[in-house]
Formats: sequence, C-alpha cells, structure tokens
Amino acid sequence: MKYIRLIFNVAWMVWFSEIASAHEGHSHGQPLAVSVALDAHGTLWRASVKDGFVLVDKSPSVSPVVFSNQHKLNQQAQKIGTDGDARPKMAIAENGNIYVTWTQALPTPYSGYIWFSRSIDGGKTFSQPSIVHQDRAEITHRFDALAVSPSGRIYVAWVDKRDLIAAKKANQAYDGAAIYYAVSDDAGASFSEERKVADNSCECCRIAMLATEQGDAVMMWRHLFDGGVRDHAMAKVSPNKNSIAIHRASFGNWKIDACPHHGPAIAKGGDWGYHMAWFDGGDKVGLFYARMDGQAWVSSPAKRFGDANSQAGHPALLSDGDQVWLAWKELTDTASEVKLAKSNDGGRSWGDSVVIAQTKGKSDYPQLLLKDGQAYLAWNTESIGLVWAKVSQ
Amino acid sequence: MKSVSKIIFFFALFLSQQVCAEPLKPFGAASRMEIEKAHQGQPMVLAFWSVDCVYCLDELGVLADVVKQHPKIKLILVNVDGQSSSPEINKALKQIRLPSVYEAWQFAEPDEDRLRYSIDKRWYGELPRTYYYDASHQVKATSGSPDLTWLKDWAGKI
Repeated sequence: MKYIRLIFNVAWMVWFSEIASAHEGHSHGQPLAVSVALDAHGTLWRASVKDGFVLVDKSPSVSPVVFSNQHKLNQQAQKIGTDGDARPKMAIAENGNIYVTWTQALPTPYSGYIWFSRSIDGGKTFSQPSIVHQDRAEITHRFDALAVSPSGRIYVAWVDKRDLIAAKKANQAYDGAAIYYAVSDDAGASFSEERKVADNSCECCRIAMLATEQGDAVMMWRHLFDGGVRDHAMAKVSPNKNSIAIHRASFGNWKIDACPHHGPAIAKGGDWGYHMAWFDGGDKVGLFYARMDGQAWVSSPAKRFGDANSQAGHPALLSDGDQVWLAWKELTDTASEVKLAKSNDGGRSWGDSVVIAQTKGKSDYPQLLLKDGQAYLAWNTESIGLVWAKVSQ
Repeated sequence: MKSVSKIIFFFALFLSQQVCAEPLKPFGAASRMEIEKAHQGQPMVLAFWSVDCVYCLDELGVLADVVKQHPKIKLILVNVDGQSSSPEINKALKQIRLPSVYEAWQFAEPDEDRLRYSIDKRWYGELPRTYYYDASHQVKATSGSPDLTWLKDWAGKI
C-alpha cells in the first residue's frame, strides 16, 4: 500500500514539475501594439490585442479620447503577433467599411497565418475572421500590412517563406523570405489568390504600404540585396500587371545576418512620388528620410533625423499636399519621447525636430493621422493610455 | 522500509528535475552589471537571442562549440522574449548542443525598449546581439551572425 502511495507521489511530483515550468513567462501586462484609424465622421477606431483576442473599439470624440463598444474579432484565443514590428492592422474605406488584419503565431517557430475580419455596417458587427492566403502550410506568413484604396480595393501584404522552403527542398540557396500580397475587389468578401511581389526580403520587419487613387499599391520593405546588404526596396503593384519592378530605395549598405525588427514608413507625395523614412544600422546607424521619384524610381539623398544615441527609430510619416510630418520614437535616461519634424515644401526642407510627447513607462511606436487637414499623433502608452495630440507645427 | 521510500523520494526529485529544465534567471536593468561582477577576471560571451530570430539559434550553436573548445570562456545566454514561456525557450535551447556549464536568463522588465537601452544605448534591437569579454573585460559588441575567423582568433587568444 505504501509503495502504491509512493508511486502515486512520484507521478504527482512529475506532473507538478511540468505545471510549474509551464508558466507564461514573466509578467509583462497587455501588449501596447495597437493600430488606430479615423472614419469620415471623425470617430477614432482602435485595434488592439488582449489575452489572445483582437479587439476593436471606438472613441466617438477625440477630446477627450474615451473608447467604448468593444468587439472581439476572433472567437478562439490565438497567439497574436504583438512583438517587435508585429501588431494588428486597421484600415477604414471611404464608405465606412472597417478592415482588420493580424498575424496568428503557430506552434512551428517563425510560422503564422494572416487573418482578416471586416465590418460593412460601420462597426456595429464584424465578420467571422478568415485566413487571407490560400497556402495553409505551417510556415512563415507574418508581418501583415493592410491598405485600402479610395476606390475600395483592399490590399494585404505579408512576409512569406514558401519559396525559401521550396529552395531548401531542391538544395538551392535562398536568402531571406519573400513578400506576397492578395487583393480584394469585393470589400473583403473574398481575396484573390496570393501573388509574389519579391524574393529575398528581410524576415522580420514590417512592410510599409499605401494604396493609390488608381487602385495600385506601393510597398516598401527591408530587402536582402547582393552580399547580404539589408537596404530597402520599393515596388508598385497592380493586380492587372503581371510583372513587378523592384526598385532600390535606400543605400545604407548595412551588411548583416540579423533580424533588425525595424521596418520603414511611406506616405504619398505629390504627383512626383513618395516620402520614405527608415532605420539603418551599421556604421551610419540612424533614422533617415528621402523622397522617391515614382516615375524614374530615383531617390533623393538620405537625410538624417533624430539622435542615434537615443535609439531614434520606428518612424511614422503623414502628408497633406506639400505638408509632410515625420514622427519617431527616442529614449532618454528617464523617459520615452516622440519627436516630430515638419516640411512645408514636400520634404525638400525641414524645420527643427521637437519633442511632442513624453512618457515615463513603456510605450508603443508613434502613429500620425490626418483629421480636418490637421496632423495628430496617436501614441499608446502604459501609464496614460492612448495619447491623442494635435501636432501644433 | 525507510530507505526504500527515501530512494523513491530522491528518484522522484531527480525525475522532476529532468522534466523541469534549468529555470531561467530574470534579467533586469542591473543584470548586466551583476553578471560582469560575478565573472570578474573571466572571459565570457554574453549573447542576446530570441526564439523568433532565424539567425539566433545558429549563432548560439557556433558560440556553444567555441565555449566547448575553450572552457575558460563562460557562456551567458539572455533570451529577450519576455512574453514567451520558459518551456518554449528551453525547447529552442534543446536544439543546440550547449556546453555543460552555461547560464540562461530571460528578459523580465515590462519595458523591453528601456531594458535594452539600459544594457547598451547603441543596441537597436537587432538580433543576435553579442558581447565578447576578454579576461580583463575589454568588450567587443557585435550584431548578427559572428565572423568565424575573428571568433576563432579571439577565443584562441583567451
């Protein structure tokens, strides 16, 4: 009898030790990685993640910002990407439709699925989420980017490793990952079969994407150029065109086999092209801005912003005519800051950088939004919640 | 009878330790200094890595081999995934043939940007990030996969 009890005790101790080692890491609170967007009525919408669920809520007024009417988009809890450059994404169409994407991390390391949910009744209800890509292998489909064109065409782009895996099987060399995208012309009821934008992208950086008046998408991402150089590439993508031209967008020559976890930002310029901001490592480490000619695909010399010794990075860009705002995050010995610079001539010349927000605790990356011709900062912080501030410059 | 139960008890304890891998030490703002102090006068490699970084496990494998060939060098691994559970991290570490002696830490501050800043203002979050200390604690910091020629040369001089 005693032996039976002892054997029972052994089993119990083994079981207990498994439970004890299965705790969920150290306590880190809720992720601060959110996305915000404004609808035509000036209502501020937010997508966030809590306890494995993507949540959408809204603040009808922005003075002050008070969120309510929370919707849970996924019914089953998932491990949702909120680390580094990962976050749920939100875009609002001109007709008021709300679109949300996110990355679910799967058990295999680096693997994931990109999910999509929409509201076609102005945020009253959201659809059952669906997976955007048709490839369902448990491999990398991560770092979703989302944009909707003025005509209502939805683009979802992501980092995808199917070509790396195919190359490995064929014993061929393949650097990095690939950029894929899918498009919806029926307000998100369905998505096209995914198509490849480029081979050899960086594996772990966000993709910057905008959708144009003509219904094209312009994407910028960190790319692996010859010799393992991680500079940026840009491409204009149209579902009607079969070939996609890849253009080199930055020339920092950061040669590294590493995950920078630091993707770029873009904004529409005038008829001439696009504004770009990005982080570069290596000898010339820092945050940079340049203009990209959208016809000739030639970029202006890179202009440095912020203090590299204060971790200047994670840029946001916003444009309205010739006005351009560039915001980024820096750290001091005691606080996190958002700094801002403004140009009134389409990015040719810039005013001084100023600190526009500060927090003592943990904070997200800054986002910039346009409301009634005025620029606003949206910045999620642990201590004061979502900072919503008019950018006075 | 007593001795039998004692044997079974210690067997159970042994089994439970086999299942529960080495606990990860919590890495906070003061931990780098604490580690440096604890290994004063000893060469060491302080390697920051993530389960989410495709280059990290290869790098840790290379570092493990170097440390096995040069046992004087201490290997200190710091996982930066504060939100990951310890089984996830230990599962990743099991893929590497680590030396018999090493330390495993995990980020344990809510503000990981600030923690990184307190470790090194010139580290921007790229991984792997590694600090090579010689016996007098002259440090070389590198980002990305190590240059094998340099690494062998460095370890050979230790």
